[in-house]
Amino acid sequence: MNIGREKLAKLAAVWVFAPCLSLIFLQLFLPIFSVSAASSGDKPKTYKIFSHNVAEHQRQSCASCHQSPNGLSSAKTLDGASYRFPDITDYPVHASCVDCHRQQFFKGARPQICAICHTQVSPRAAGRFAFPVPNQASEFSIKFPHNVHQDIIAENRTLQRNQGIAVAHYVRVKFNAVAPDEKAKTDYNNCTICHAPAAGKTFVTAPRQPVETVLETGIAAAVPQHESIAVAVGHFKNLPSGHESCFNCHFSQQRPTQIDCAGCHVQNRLAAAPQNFIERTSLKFNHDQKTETGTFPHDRECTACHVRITQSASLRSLDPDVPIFACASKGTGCHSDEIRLEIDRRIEDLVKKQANPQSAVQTCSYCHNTYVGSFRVPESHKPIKP
Amino acid sequence: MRVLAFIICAALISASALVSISAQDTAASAQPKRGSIKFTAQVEINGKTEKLDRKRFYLVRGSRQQNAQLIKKIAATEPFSQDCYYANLRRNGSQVSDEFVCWLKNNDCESPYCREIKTSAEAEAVPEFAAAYRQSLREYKTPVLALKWLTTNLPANLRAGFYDQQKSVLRELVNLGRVSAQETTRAKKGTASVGEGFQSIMTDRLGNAYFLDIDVVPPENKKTETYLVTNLLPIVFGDTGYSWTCEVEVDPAKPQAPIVLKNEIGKKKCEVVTKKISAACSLPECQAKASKTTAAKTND
Repeated sequence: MNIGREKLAKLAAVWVFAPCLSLIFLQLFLPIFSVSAASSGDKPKTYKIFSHNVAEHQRQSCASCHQSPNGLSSAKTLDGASYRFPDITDYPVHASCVDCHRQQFFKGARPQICAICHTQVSPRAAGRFAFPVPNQASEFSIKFPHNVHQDIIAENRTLQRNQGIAVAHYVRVKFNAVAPDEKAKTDYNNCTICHAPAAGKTFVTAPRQPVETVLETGIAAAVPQHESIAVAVGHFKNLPSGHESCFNCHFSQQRPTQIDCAGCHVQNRLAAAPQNFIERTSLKFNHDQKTETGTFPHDRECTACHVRITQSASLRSLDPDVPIFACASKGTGCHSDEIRLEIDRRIEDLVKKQANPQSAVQTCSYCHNTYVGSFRVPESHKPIKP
Repeated sequence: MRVLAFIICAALISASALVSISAQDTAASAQPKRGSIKFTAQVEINGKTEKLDRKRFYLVRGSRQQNAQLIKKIAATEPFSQDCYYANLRRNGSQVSDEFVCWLKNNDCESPYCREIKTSAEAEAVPEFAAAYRQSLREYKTPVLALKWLTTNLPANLRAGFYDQQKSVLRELVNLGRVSAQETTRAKKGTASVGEGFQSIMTDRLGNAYFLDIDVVPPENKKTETYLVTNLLPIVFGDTGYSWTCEVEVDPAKPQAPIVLKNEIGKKKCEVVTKKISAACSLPECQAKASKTTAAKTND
């Protein structure tokens, strides 16, 4: 078949460039399309799940549905004493929904819309799910100026320290039980008013897939799945999870108050992924560690190790990471010897492995689990001197 | 023909991916090196060294010369003490009791947020707390919650008024510092990925703090880059306000030796401006606490 030059160009345009462009176009924009399709509510409405992201809901003020307060919640002091405080403890009342959803409310004997809040789909059943719904990803993230709160509770003046009056704030932040000799001291607000020991929670280490890595000497090595580490109460610190830690100052006058929901809750454009995990590199560090003699070695103030924590203005940029020098720098670090020894052994093993590929390489297990401890030693760890 | 089209298409996509990866590599290699600074802030009064704990310091990109306008503004800022704030409130007709002022002083606090009022007796001892406690009791019904949430019923000017006033002055200085740092950053040609050049940090109880991850793009014939460490707003200690503007050379190759910010006058690269607090700010002397408040019975 004799194909002319012009026809060949046309064929090329149709058969080569068009599919290419389509493919590239799809590759680039497919995620956006899939997201917008999901969020624009193309699916038929079932009225089984409530979303704040629906345009009609977004046009309403928070107070048009949520009454604050509408009940009492329980909280505990650091000493373990219980108390009750006014809170938003329940779903909005029917009147908040019925103006727009009358049709769904009165649809048959078992209206599906009831299933959003009620445990039984029946006009006569009053039982409701817990509020807010446990284990459901929130559609909101929290706006919190961390530095403002640090500044306002951390300021103190050193003028009177030598008169034995002042106890610097943040000092001995009570990771652990208060020592008897400290009970008489003035109890200043500090990090623990929000970050208490994570009592009553259980932690599990998330599974990791074994991967390959390249070690310092260029040797390829397998990084194993890590071992499970038992995490005791107090190992981690809690994040504030309820209104109490905010309402104690912001309930009525100090803005944002209990009715300025948007002062703290920022609606995500898309539903947020559940964040029930903590990214911790040095998993073996225990805030609440107790020595054989009954002392608590990790009793320095929080900012002595979390050196970046006071620099951030928002939660998004907050960096609680503890640089290695906080644990192992000459003069201030307590663990220089152990960490240096471990790194030296590892380097020795790597040299041996070059000669004998079957030889084992020490993993860094003083601070890390086997997974993290099997990777290349980062540059930040190398200047550690004994 | 379709097979040929797909082969060409795959080749094109692979080529575009390769170009993209190599562009990322180039961007990564163009990233500036990073350094860090450790510093200690202290003042020496009558031969005695006092650490400046819980004080906020700022790191601004550029030398003293590059930040001349900012330094001029810092030097012109008058120190403003807690006593000045409450003396002004009284002059303007607000009721601030001696008991309230002395509670703050005796507890070493700058605001009532610094610690909880633990007992009703402690609340009743200070007129402002007593009024807030009674209002809280009416609202929240239980003494425990009325004490825990006592600050929600304190007047705004007593809750965080001093902090807010400082913040309004500080905001202007921070904006100026940020703009100054950005101008220095923009002047660094050929380094597209350098950061903002402005950081802040608070000192710990020993007066120590770190600035970490500082972008370093040294000028030609130099291995270090110059930054300015300053507290922007005068730190009031005793009857004097102190403002530091100190040049620091940040070297990404080796850790910076710790810097000590002292109240030494006459240093060319590290200036400290000291100003006495106005005499009009003086408030009555407070008696030391008669007894430790937390030792009181908590039978509310």
